[in-house]
Amino acid sequence: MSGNVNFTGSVDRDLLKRAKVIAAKSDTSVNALFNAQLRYLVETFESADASHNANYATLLAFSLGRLDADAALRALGLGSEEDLFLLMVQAHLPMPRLPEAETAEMVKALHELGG
Amino acid sequence: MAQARPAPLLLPDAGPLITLAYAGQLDLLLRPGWSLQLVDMVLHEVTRNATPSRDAITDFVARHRPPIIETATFRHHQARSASGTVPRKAGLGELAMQEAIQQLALQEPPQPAVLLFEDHKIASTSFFLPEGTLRVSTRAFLIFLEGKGWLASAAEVEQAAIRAGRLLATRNSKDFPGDDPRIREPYVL
Repeated sequence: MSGNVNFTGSVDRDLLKRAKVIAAKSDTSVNALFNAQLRYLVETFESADASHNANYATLLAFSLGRLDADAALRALGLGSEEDLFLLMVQAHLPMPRLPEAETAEMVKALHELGG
Repeated sequence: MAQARPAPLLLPDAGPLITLAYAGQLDLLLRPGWSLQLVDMVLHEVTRNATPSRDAITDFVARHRPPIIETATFRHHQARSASGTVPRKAGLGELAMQEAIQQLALQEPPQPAVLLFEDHKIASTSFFLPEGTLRVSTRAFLIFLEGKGWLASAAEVEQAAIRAGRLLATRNSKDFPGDDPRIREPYVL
């Protein structure tokens, strides 16, 4: 029998803030939202895996930054980054993101440029 | 007396053009007042196929006529295409961007530039960057615009692009890559 367990993780501050707003609007908890989305990801992955379809695993690897765009395009047989973007969107997977600190450094550099 | 530093050029890669086209916000590229220039190979990449963003990008280019930086990469690609050889496609945009950076760096004084890429390209591609040249992500650029008060919400632009992509994926299946014969197998996620 499956039961709930606690675990510790970390999440982007702004993402958590937005999730709290959605939870409040949906009259539920961030925990419930997290469970629903994790279940969606796990079940989609397992379903694709069971039918020997590697597409979702490829997109997930790209989303997590473990596969670069060219490798993902080759694995999926796609011809353009736009196709890859659309598949990521359809799969409800976020595009890969740089660490927030790296983005903040770029923003700082842009301000210093005197724009 | 110190010479004033020239204003930077803004050179977007294909990814930022696509994202901003989906968000309906290509005009944000003009907001800092820097000279927007496009690399020929990059422009070709985002306009060669009948993709949903092509019309928006073509229209934007026709309206604003940004200077196009010509590269040997694109000339080579065109020559290969004209000769009937199936040209290599992967990585040509980045190669052309690198070539454009070199052209700018060799100017006297060197021309500073802001190169715009999507996050994943920054993570996976290494460039030699001359002094005064910045490589930044679309997200960083949008946050910069927000910080300057030139944009209400950087996050909203990214979300608008995703919403447009989802709408297209669910409503307009004829344009969706799942129906594209280039894909190796029927697309099931």
